[in-house]
Amino acid sequence: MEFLDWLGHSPLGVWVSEYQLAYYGLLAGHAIGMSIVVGIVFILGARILGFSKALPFEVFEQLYRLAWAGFGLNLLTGLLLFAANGRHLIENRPFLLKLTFIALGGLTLWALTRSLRAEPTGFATGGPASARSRSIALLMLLLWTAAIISGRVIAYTIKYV
Amino acid sequence: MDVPKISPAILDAIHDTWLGETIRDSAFLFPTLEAVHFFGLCLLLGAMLLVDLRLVGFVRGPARPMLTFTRLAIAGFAINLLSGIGFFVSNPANYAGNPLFWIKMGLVLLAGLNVAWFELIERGRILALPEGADTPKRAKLVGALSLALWFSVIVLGRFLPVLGVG
Repeated sequence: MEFLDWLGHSPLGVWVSEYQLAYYGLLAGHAIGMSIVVGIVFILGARILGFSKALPFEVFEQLYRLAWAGFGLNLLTGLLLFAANGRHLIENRPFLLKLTFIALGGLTLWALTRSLRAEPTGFATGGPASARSRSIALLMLLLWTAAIISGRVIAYTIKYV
Repeated sequence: MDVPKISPAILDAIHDTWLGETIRDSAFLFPTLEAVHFFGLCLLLGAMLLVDLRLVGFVRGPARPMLTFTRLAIAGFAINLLSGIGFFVSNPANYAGNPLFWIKMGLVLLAGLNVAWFELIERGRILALPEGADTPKRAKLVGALSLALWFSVIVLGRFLPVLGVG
């Protein structure tokens, strides 16, 4: 807690919270990273649940690196935003929930990838996904949607220094 | 910065509608619309990402099932148009007086025209290409322009509070 207090008052923390261009620039970067990560999660989930069935799952393999890049962008922008107000964020329940949903969402994405690679058909040629893959995909979509919602709730529950 | 002049009487009339009043009077509706707007944003961008990266040549795969994703993009756009109208009617003077809002709307219009160009002209040409063929230069341009425009729309959306509220 003392560390987070110190961080918030450090030149970095003050830069983020006082310099408007930095603060809104970080929020914008965070929204772009979200659109990349959750956007890829949404189209993958949609495909597995039956949208555009002729598309081979293999196409999504080409997007994983981009998804990681989006995640990296959000880790970076997220840490910088956290530096400005970590003292209150660490006690903010929606923030902690959001981190939990992201961790679980990432876990389901990993599980889905594994499940898809084990599919007997459809990986290279297109076709329906197994019931197991579909269940994981549905859970993944719910978790990432929950992450978005809890992220929005932070703005209405957080205290500023 | 100058903004388009909209008569205060019109803005007042929008402000006083049942919808505007309902959203203003509720502590939950506006934040809920925001969450919905972010959900739609992810759907729109995710689908456009797949289509545009296919056009640019960054992602390879069968054209027809990949280009089908424009339907998801349209669904995401519809969600954001409706939730966006909700924001506007709850506080029309704020948005109408914000230059960043008008720039954002201008970019949305350009991005929409770009999608229309894709749908009317490029889609047919790409589907007519032999399997595995590289996309023509013009299709690459459409894809790159689309990504640049939609990402700019996101950035402007996040910067709206700098010159207004919400």
